[in-house]
Amino acid sequence: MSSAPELTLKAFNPADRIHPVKGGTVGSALPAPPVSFQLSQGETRISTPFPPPAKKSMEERLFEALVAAKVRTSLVAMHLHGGVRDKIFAQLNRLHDADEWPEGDEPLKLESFKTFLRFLLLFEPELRPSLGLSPDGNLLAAWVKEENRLMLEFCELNRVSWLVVREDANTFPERGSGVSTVDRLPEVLAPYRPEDWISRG
Amino acid sequence: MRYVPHTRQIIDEDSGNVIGIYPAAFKLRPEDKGALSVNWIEFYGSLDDESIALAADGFRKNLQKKKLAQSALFALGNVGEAKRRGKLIRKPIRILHEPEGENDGHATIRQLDDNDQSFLDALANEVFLDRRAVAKLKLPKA
Repeated sequence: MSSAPELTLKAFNPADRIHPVKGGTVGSALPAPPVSFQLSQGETRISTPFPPPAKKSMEERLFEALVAAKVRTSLVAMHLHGGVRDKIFAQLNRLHDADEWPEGDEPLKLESFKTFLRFLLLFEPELRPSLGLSPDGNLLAAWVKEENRLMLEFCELNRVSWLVVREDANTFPERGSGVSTVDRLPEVLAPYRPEDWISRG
Repeated sequence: MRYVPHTRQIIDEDSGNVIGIYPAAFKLRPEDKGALSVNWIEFYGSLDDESIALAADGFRKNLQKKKLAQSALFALGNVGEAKRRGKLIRKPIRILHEPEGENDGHATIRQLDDNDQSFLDALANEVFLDRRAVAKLKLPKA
């Protein structure tokens, strides 16, 4: 039984070892034409240069962002109660509808979503927020009760931009806004009684 | 009026109704070059459904895909009220008619401090209160 001859490339010398093949059909749709490699046994094989990474379509980017967020959610799903996971997924699906996607917007950033998950685990809000997306891919959440509203923008590194509008009877509407971390949010929002929005009460 | 995609609408999860707009709908993007894009309805005539549809069509013409999302809406606001709100917080804004490309009714809100979440929220939920769903507009054929 004879063993197959070992194929080895000769010393690399682009000038006389690699000969571009003109008119190749395989490479006609690729950014660069195919080239032939002269192997030591006189055998020629055709290969193509490593193609540059293709620019992803928006549909692909939306899909990838959605998958990344869902995978991340699955890691903490055991701590989410009452069908929370399914409700989040439904909202994320709606937000990432490719047919409705606004031109120039960025899909959900995973770092922003991580901050949101941390918020869910710390606050355990009984009432689910409406979710939205900022143009640069930060997750937005809002609780609205008539004229009163609490809105959060989840940013990377556990940072949260918050806004509260509270209109109690016979008082001028009170507004507050700022930037904090998720961990500090309970203390920062306490004067505005966030439980009025996020608890069933 | 300002175009608001579905991602910037606050939607009641039970009813599916739009109950507000995120302040982010009025946030500047790098391509805005410091001026927020809106459309001036009265450029097309009186403040009625026909002028609103023409203004929406003007906005559509400047989009790459020449297509408005069916889930999007236009939020309509009063220029005088927007300026008054700016003056109240000592951050006066200017609103200028600046035709752009095929969008003859294009206008811009200038000197807008889009780091002021509270002001953006006031614009989104107290000034631009009249909301018209794209799906219900009688747009001219593209």
